[in-house]
Amino acid sequence: MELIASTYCFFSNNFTKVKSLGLYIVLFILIIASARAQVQYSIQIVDQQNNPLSYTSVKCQAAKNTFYTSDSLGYVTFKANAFTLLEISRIGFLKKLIILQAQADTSFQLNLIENNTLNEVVVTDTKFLKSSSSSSNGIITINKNTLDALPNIGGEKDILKAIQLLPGVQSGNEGTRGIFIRGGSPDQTLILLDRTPVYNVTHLYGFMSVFNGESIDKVDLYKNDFPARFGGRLGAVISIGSNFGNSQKIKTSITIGLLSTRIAIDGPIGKNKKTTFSIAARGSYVGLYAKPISAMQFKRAGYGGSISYNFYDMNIAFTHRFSEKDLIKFSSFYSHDIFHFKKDKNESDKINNAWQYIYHYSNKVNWNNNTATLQWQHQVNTNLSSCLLAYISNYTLNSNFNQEETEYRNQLIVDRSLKKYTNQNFVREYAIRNEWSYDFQNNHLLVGAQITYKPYQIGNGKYQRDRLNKANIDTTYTNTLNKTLENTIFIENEFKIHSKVLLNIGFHVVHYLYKSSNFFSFQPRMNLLYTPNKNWVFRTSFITSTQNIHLLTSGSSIVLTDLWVPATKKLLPENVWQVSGGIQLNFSKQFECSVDAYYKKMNNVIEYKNGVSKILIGDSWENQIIGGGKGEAYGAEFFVSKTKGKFTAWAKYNLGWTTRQFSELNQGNKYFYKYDRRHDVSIVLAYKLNRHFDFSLNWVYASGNWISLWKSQYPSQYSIDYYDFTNGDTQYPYIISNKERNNYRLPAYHHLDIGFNYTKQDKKVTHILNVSIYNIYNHFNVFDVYSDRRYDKNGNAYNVTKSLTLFPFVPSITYTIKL
Amino acid sequence: MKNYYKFLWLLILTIFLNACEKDFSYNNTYQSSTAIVNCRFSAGQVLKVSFTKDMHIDSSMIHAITDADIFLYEDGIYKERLNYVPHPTLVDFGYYQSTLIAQQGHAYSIKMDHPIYGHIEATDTIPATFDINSLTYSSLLNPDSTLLQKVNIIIQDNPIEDNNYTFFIIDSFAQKVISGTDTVESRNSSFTYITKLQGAKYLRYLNNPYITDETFNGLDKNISLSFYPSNTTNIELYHRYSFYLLVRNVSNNYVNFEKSLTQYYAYDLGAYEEVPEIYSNVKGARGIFCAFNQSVLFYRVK
Repeated sequence: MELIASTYCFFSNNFTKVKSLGLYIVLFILIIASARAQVQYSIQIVDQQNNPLSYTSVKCQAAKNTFYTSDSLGYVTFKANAFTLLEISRIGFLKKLIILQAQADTSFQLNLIENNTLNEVVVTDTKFLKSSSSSSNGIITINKNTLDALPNIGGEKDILKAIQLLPGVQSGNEGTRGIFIRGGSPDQTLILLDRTPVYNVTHLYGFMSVFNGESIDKVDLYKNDFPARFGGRLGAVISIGSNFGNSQKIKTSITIGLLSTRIAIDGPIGKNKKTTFSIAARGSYVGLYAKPISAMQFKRAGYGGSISYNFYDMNIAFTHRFSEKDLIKFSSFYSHDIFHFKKDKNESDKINNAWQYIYHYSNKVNWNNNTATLQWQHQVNTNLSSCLLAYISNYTLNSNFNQEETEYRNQLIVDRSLKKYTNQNFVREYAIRNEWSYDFQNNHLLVGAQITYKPYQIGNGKYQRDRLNKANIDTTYTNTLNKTLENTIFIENEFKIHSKVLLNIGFHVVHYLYKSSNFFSFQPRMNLLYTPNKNWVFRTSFITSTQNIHLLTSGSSIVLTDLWVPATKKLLPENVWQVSGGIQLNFSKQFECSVDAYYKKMNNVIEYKNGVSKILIGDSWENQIIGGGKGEAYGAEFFVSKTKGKFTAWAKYNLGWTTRQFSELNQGNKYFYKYDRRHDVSIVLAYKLNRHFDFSLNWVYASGNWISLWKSQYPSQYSIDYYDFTNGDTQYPYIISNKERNNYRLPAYHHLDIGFNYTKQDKKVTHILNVSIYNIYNHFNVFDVYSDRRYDKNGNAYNVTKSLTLFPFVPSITYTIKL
Repeated sequence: MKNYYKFLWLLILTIFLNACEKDFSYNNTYQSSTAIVNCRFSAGQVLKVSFTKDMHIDSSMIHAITDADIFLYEDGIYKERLNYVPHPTLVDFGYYQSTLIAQQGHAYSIKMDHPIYGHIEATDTIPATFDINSLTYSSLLNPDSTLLQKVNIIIQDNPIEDNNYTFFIIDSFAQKVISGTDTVESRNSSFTYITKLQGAKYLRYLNNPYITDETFNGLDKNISLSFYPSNTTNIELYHRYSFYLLVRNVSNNYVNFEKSLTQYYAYDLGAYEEVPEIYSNVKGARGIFCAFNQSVLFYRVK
């Protein structure tokens, strides 16, 4: 290949200079002079560190301004005239213009340079958030560097924690599982790993995501609008892309921390480097010291028992390029958690031996996620490409529960109860999907179809209940499989109406079958973007969506109870419509601020009925849930950032309201949803002292969750009939008067975290020492409030209200070596 | 190196010793705002209404309302003002008692206007009487397999209205082996009736004590009841086994209240979560005002 003109780099705001008349005259002459035969170009686009850049746009002027997009290995292949002008652009990089002339089919590598002044938020020079770009209506992208810049619990890179610092996303309390976006529940956020849904995304009571930071390439968050290609959830989409490995050399990273050790290795296979791989694994050893320490704590509180917890996860990803037009990608993910909570109590009248109370509780829970995804990307011609994808996703939750309680009076058993259950639940998803992408003129058209089969096993297991002088229950349930089928088609088109106006419009259509019930949904989506100049962006969107799956969860329980169940005739599919709009302003080349507002209305949301056991055994699960609820959420999000210099920062403020309404709850009145957050603030500051030292700090403040506190009680007829005049108490407890659901807002949740990195880079080895402190001022954030039964010296029972705080002050230190 | 290990151990301890539970105090400024009415009445008895108020969640004392003017109506016609009857013990349940004896088939109402709790009223009708036509003790316990015992009874349903029946077994056997400290297990009886049954203290709870007459309206109904004896440790005593069978025809309000109460007590009240709502037919207050009619049979196993 011969480059007959120099390579020109332009900042986007200078790009108009390219269109100067002089250059076009030169080009015209050269085009006329050059050979008219077409040749095939194969270009790999990489960054300055030789990492391949996927989704890079290549505009070929000689081919009627046709756009091509690079694949996950950064390759783009097309045919064009032997002489041609290329414009290569990618979010976060300087736009590059090159003029080529080739005598024959040719391939080469092209470097792009990172740009800190494009329409992005870049909080540090090389590492931080690339937020809403003007071409994507509020889509927020987080890459690996973002994670490095944040202080982490136990030195763990946590993608979910990073997302929670973004506008529109709620700062998660410790112990809450999942992501809460714009007043939605966690199940309303679709979390995809290489386009495959993942059903449980957290380790360690929700503290840590199951996604090993080393195995992630990038994450896209769609909260304003998710295009028609996505579906199945009401609220938002988090699309995570695996790291498929670099094509340059084998890279290894080992990190040792207090909670876990992780190892990652990636690179090319073979001399031709057509195959790359990435393997990352992480294992915790929390249980090794959590068990004896918790036993010590329990003993101090007067109990026996302990808490034991362990987890591990693994990611594997491969790609292989069979030809210039065909790329195969395979990725797989597995995570496993094991939790055992044991508590024993033995209280008695040690003097007169008049009473004794023996309590034993044991709850063993283990759960795992695993996915496997195979993709075949095929470039049919310069305008048309396809992707055939098949995946399996599995989430399994197994519980083994045992509770025994015995009360003696004068050595006679006066009360004894035994409750035991074991159950095995799962949801599996098998899907095949095909989508086609076609570029023409100012349009980018995407059409596709998907068939998804989901078997759910709900409440499979054994239930035993035995209470003194009461009829016993001892039942085994085995036939608890529920099967669903979803057929989906979608079409979306991104149309450049005008140089300043971009419209994305599409439809997502689903047929859902459960038993003999058929449900159809037609979900239009629209997203309009207006960019009057380089500083201002105006955006608006309207979406509707339907969700054919419900998540049952006891949000406050420390023991995982998350269970996915299908929509049924009784518990109809949930649906939503949402309208949102926003304005973004970039100024002084280093500041960005934005304001977004939204309103959404949800139908057929679900809740547990008041007072159900939340033990889902057999086919009773449908009766424990109330469907047909209405939800409403509205609010505004404010965001400001400084993106350049040694000192960088950002701050978000969410102001929101979200309510639920069920005819059978709260006397039919609207009430605030448990995770209604009136105020939610995050402030992130980062300072890069030199190439060795950098510091970061973040402060999070959020209104507390709502809970239903018991404020009053009253005697029933039985409380009076069976009043024990000698003890001054009733054998039938008073009735708790629960007039209002979610009648008390817990204290505000806030913490300040700091992080410090020391980096030493040799020629071949990089050492990173991370020291961080989570919740440095040791604030006791309330995770749960509960009533605990206590006995006084005379054996009289009384209740005390307790709160549980999980992580008041967490220092951590990790050491990473990169080879 | 030794210092390094010390430091590491200190860090680990800091993490896990800090995770803790603490007393949670919240500003529960709850002021009593709801009156509570409790009354179950049957034919041939006076009405005894307990009038109390709700209380703070940590309180254990029942708070009687003693300054109420409660008026009794029979079939909508004013009859009398109930008399406040202080309880002879230290605990006052706020009893107000009628002089009028309730009769089956009549609707009784109470009404009051309290200066704090406002207007309160409740109404219920005493269901019709009925007959137990026969009783067959169909099986003695089988020590090799199960202790379950069965009784077949035939009752004559009252055809005039829909009826709900509840069934209780009170076995006399229990009083011979359980000392005076035993607890009454069943919640499906009233204290009043236990004392009337000459010392039989132990009630057996049946799995499905509620039957509606949708399927046998006005006809004889053969009902099979199964239950466990109150005590099975002393097998030789079974030859003296006897029991009372109580069958009540109860109002809809009675059934709804009992069902909601059963659900309430079945719930594990260990956490601050929503509790099941207890049924109430009292307007302007909580509690229950419900009626029943009852037949009693005594059966001795030969």
